[in-house]
Amino acid sequence: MSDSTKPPHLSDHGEHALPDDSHTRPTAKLLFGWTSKPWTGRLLFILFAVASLGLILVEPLLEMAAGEGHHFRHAYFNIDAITGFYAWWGFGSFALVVLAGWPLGRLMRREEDYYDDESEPAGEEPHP
Amino acid sequence: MMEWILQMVPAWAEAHAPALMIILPLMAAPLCVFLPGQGRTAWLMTVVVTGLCLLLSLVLLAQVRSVEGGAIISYAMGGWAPPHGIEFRIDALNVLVLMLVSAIAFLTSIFGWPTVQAEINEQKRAMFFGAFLVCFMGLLGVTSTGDAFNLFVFLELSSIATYVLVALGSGRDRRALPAAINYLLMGTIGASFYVVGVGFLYASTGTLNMADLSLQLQDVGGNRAVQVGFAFILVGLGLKAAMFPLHQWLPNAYSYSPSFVTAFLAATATKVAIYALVRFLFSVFSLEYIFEGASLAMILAPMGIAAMLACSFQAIFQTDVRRTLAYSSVAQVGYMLLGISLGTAAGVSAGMFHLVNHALMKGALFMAVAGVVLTYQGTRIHDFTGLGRSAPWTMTAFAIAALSLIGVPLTAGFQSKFALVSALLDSGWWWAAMIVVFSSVLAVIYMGRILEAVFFRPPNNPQKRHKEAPLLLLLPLWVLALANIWVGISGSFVSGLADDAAAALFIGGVK
Amino acid sequence: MSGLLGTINPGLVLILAGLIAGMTPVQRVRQGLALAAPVIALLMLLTATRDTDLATMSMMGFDMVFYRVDGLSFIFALAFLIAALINAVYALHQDSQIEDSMGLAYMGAAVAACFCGDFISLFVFWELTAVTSVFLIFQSGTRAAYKAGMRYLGLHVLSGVLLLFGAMQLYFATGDISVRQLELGNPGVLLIFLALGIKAGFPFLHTWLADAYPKATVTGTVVLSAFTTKLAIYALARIFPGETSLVWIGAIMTVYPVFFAVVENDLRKVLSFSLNNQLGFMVCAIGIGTPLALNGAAAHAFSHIMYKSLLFMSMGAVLYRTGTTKATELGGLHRTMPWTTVFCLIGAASISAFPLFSGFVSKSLSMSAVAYAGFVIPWLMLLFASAGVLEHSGIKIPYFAFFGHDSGKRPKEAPFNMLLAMGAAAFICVGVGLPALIPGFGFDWLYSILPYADDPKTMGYEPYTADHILTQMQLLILAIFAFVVLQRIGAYPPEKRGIILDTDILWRKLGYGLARWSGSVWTKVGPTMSGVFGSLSSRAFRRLEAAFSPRGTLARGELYNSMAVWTVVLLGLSLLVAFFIR
Repeated sequence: MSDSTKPPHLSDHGEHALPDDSHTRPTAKLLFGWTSKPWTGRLLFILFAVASLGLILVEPLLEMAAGEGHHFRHAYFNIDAITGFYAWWGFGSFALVVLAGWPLGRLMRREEDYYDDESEPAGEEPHP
Repeated sequence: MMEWILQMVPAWAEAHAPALMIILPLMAAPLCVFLPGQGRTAWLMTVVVTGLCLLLSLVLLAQVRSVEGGAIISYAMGGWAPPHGIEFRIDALNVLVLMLVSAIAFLTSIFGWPTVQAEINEQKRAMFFGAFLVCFMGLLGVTSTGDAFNLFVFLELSSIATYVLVALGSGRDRRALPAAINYLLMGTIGASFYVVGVGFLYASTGTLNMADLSLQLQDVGGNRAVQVGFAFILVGLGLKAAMFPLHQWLPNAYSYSPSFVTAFLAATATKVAIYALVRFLFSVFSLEYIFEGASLAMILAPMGIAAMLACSFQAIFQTDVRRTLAYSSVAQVGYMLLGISLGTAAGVSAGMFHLVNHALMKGALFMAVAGVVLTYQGTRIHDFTGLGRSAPWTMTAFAIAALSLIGVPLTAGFQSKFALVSALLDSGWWWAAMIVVFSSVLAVIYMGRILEAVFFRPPNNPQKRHKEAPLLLLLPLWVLALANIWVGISGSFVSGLADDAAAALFIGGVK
Repeated sequence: MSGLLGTINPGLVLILAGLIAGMTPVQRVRQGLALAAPVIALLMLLTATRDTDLATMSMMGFDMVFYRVDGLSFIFALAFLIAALINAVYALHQDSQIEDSMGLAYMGAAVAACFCGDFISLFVFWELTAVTSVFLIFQSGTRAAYKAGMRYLGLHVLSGVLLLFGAMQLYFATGDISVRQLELGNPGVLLIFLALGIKAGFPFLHTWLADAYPKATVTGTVVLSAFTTKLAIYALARIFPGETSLVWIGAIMTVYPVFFAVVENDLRKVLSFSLNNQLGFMVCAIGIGTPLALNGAAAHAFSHIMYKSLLFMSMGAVLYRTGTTKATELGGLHRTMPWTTVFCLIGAASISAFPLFSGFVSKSLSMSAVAYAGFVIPWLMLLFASAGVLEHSGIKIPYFAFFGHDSGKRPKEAPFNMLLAMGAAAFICVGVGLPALIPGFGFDWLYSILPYADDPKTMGYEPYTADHILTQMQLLILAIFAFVVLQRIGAYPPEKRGIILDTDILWRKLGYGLARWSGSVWTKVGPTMSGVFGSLSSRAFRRLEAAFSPRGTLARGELYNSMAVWTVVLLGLSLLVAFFIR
């Protein structure tokens, strides 16, 4: 399709025309219909923001609940004993990986016919 | 079985077998030329003569094997006792080569008729078989003689006949003529180097008999003349054996000569030269001479390894099946030389074992190619696509031999490569063993390309479906292919012969 | 099981079925074989006597053990056979004699290799997996697939001969050919290590994986993904447990494919990188070598085979229906392929190790083992890679294929047999990941078939603690939050067409070019060079001739044939050697 540099869908704030849903199967509408609504992006953002905050905040609470002399968290090393360590590490790692995609793409991406054989289509004819 | 052969054979044949083996084809060769029937009778005669020679070689084998550790049969030509007369000397080493040459000659001459019919002009067929018999006789002579100068005579006889045979390929492909001329020039250089070397030896010892030479050389020691003679003989025979980088006559000669000749030469000619080299290295000279040990380590081993690598790579980039196989032959000569250059009984045994096996597989491969040439006219890999479906019998035999060439377990090639690697590891040459293994991977690539085209691509000429090579061609082809499997499963018979051959050099032998 | 039947390696059943399938033109018969063979083999495996040599033979002086079952080989073979059964269902729709037979033989060879007690028979099956599997790549029929297949075959055959050669070297050093735990040091052992490394996709030896897998057929990739690399993992666990260098190799293996995967456009290639990354976890655990770690590696291999097959199956269904798996051409497929979407999401959740899914219970074993052994940096790398896995397999695959930017493609749902196979794999992914509310179910079952199931640390291991669930959810939810944020601010790099360079550029561009160049130099320019060389040395040549050629054949001296020159060079060399070496 197009090589649009605009990231699709989630940044789509409802100003584009909605996709054609005439072929959508009922099961799909039931299970995933919500994903193509105009408010999906915003909703997911809010949902995950709340969940993230909650997961970080619940840790000190549980730690307090464990009482004196006991630990809720069983840390292996010093570093992972930091409150919310997994959360920070997960967020950081993910952001690093994704952001590294920009320079890496520029550095390592080549035309599809770089090796003179890669540009061929996959060997499978579509069976629509 | 050996006792049984000895019981069956009349005493005169037993006593004169070494001479009969030479005389039969020698007498038959001129007769062939005068036989009527556009070569058909000449062909029948060739089959009969080669068959008889095969029987005689079996008799000799039985005689040699009748004594524990291998007997030595010394036959004085015309009753002139050695060292002054010409001696034929058969031991465990050359009886193996004799049997190989006559068996291959028998099988190829059976399969030869259809291809000769297709490739050789009607008037020349009788001459062709005459030349073939001379060539065959020469190779047998080189193998059985115990006289250094006589070896030269036989070498030239077989070579001159070979030039003629290669040149006769011009009926199919005009490039056979330059190939033959090139071969002639190179072959002559090789032969002259050899005879010069023998001259030097004669000058310092005064004898030409090999057994006598080795005794005399011990007294003379390693003087300059002997060293020069050694160098000349090494290079001369090395050229005949297609030792890298003296192999450049071989690819063209194999690619353009008639299919029949290619199959025969590929399985025998270089093998006989290697035999002669081994004979000189370990019977006439010996490892006691420092210069010999040094040449083994500094010339034979590096050249063998260079052949294994360079020619395998070259084989990968060929588009013609016969050229691929020809380069692979040079690479395989590298394996044999590497085994020999170890200078141990295990190494020589592995080299001889691989020599026999290589004859089996290359014979089968070139026969299968001859079958394709006959039915589909073409030797490019492109011409082979889809033949697995059109000619399953020919191509299955081809595949068996190809797997053997690669060294897949349960085939002959695995057994001898295994023996070679064991011998190399025994001597601590593990780096060389690595290279052997690596070059086997190269063999997977160059044979894999062909096999892939043969079995897994659709035929590019759908009209010619299901056209198999004639039965006359399939029979000997399958005999060789099954021999590859037989040796692969129970290698003990051939490897036992090779062990005896090596033992003949290192323990008893000519000395 | 007693008698003759009990001495037959179950892998041979599959190989035999493959042989028969190769000669059967009737599709129904082949389908029957493909379904029946794994079932029979499973029965044979379940009833096999443990820890004894069930089939031995002495050939060429070697003591060969064809069939020996123990805890380690059991779990790998079990996973292989289950995968074989699922693959058979997945491939029911297709009619390809060669693919059916080669696939069966390939799976059989992998199963059989697990039970080999000596290096010779291991080598035979090791090479058989390479030779048979390459047809699954060739069957795509494209030139790209053919070339990738040849590269694949070359590396794998090399792996096999290295294995054999290393084993022989070892045999000559120790006189023992049995497969056993080895220490690095002996050059032979190093070669075996290298042979396993090629198949396990060690860094720099990994290129074949992402090169060949995405080019195989729809069903071929699914089959390939389950066996070759896991066979290598099995062999590593058998031969090199506790080899510390593996900890670092494994940690590096988990990290770098993440970066490749994020920029890759072909989703099957993304999955191949992710496969490589998952192997890193197992390799790392094997490097730790404690019973807990080895259990972790085995458990992870088991669940990995299931969820990776599931993901490849879902992408295969997409490829089957749309003809492409390029992220730029896909999107919005959930509308017409809802079930495929559901199964893909289950696979994604499993590989990302969400609680209640198989990855959660298996990966945590290895992670804990690494942490207990005190390797901080590798542990952090693994944790980093866990977030990375979520990125490329957990989010990128389902998002770009089924949601995201609508491609306008409205293909049909996957064929029923594909859905059935995916459903079975998804069932295992969930079933194995559930908490053991009833003893013996959920993760308890997986833990009970581990090779060191009676290890006290493993027996006492409880993945579903509040602590573990919380930390894992923190890691995953925050990572997803990062995705949502980056998408909203437009910082997520867009998918673009193109290919991503890997280290195989070294030999695909430079090496191949060099080989071609030297080949043509040797065949074409060679004579010219020899000619130049010849004219330079003709003076010396003539002098030598005058001295050494009494017959005068060469006396004319104008023979500028390259070979004649070589002859003289070699003669000179021989003379030098003969004269001066003392």
